Amino acid sequence: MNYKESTMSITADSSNTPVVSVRGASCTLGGRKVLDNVSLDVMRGEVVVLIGPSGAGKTTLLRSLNHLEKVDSGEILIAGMPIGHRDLTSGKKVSTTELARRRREIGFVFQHFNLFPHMTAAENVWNGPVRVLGTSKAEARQDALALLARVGLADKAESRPSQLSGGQQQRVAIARALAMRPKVMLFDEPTSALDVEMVGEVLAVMRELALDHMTMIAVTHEMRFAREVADRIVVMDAGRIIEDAAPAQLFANPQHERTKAFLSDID
Amino acid sequence: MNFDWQFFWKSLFTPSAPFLNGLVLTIVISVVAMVLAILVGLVVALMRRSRLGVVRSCAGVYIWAIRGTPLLVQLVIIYTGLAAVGLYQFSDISLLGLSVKAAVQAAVIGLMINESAYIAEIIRAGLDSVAKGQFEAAASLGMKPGKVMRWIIVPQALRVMVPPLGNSFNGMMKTTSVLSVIGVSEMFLVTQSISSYTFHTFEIFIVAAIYYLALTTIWTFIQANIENRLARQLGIEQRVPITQRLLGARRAGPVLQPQG
Repeated sequence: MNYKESTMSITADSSNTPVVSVRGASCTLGGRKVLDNVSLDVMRGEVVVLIGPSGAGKTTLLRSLNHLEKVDSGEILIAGMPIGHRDLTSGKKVSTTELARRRREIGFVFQHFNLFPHMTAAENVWNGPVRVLGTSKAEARQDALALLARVGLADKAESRPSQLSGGQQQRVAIARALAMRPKVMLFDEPTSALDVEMVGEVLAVMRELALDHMTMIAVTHEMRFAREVADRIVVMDAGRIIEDAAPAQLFANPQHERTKAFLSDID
Repeated sequence: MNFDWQFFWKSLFTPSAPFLNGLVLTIVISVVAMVLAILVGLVVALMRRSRLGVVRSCAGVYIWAIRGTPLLVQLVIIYTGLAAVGLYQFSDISLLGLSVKAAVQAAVIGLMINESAYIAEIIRAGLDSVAKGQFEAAASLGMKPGKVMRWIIVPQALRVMVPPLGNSFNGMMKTTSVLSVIGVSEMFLVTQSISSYTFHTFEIFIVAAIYYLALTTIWTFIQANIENRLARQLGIEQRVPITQRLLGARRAGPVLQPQG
């Protein structure tokens, strides 16, 4: 029954509907406007990197795409469907069930991995499909092992998160998100909590995903990754999107003063 | 000293039928009340986390009132008080072919209510001990709140909850002695009556003490087993030696700070 529901919801998807569409989103947290009338469309297969100084609202924007943060006004559509807030067209409130169903289509990778410590790496990966999609354990497990192999961790399937390095944990977390066959993958500073020598292995997995035409939105400070992998770089400052351009153009010829300042700070 | 050894050994190793019945009743009431208290406590704990302020306050008031009044007072209100004002009169009923005395019903309900308030706090602390990121990770896989609890949060919270829950049960078995006040013929009341017609007060109460000690000791072993099993499930090796469990935690020696 669950499976049927999930296949039906795909009908809203077509190639010219943006996978992610943010329209005039604003969000106030603790009296501070962290998102200020933000609009952003991400098309299928696009890789978008969000950059900007800390406190610019990148993480809030990313989390609001998954309704982990609620926007006060504006609309956020995933494959054309509103996520977790009032549906502006029908005026109906999106139910918990509906929210959960839409979240299946969005993979989220956290800065601190948030793996389930009471499960092995393989369980972390097959848990979602089995509990949420109703996939059989045998099938989900096989898929999990394949995904772990894909992120280079075939031999760690039976390890606990506590036995893995940060980089390995983050790769398991990516496999866990991929197991749900999401339409879009969101990465919230996926390498910020890692030791330097482990950053590369996580970026390599992300790079490979991009080559496979996964739609991706990533908040990251890895400028080389942004330059080489992103289709677009979106620069945020003080809750607004101040620039949105292809990497070559953005790095060579930044338009906004704040972008120039930010890029020179990073170098 | 006129300690009647013969009476003592006889009472200890071949206890009378009423004494054994009292022992069984003590165990049965403890187990039933504890199970019910966990269920009620879970409901109250979840109410404490409700989105609705009214529900949260109701649970808060319940915990405040129940923890703030003595069990003895609660028992008398439930058993005698309710009947006195004509609200509810407990009467003997037959459940699954066993007759359950009015006082026993009141006792189970009283213990359940009393313990549930403490257990609600234990459960709340357990749920709070799970990092927020775990809720977020589970939710972002598309799990509904019930599944998030069932598969992600509760298994982790149990590790924090089981030790204090075990202690609650340990306390519960001893607290049943209070039930003598409303005339439940559990081990304490039976001991008292044996004492009053044999005048071997010291001997028979030592016997009762030994039986209570046996109950709680057996429970300590069971609890250790549950905790170790849980730890293994979570992939943690934490073995607390049984002597330490029974005789109390060894104090860590003072840490010597190097001078200068």
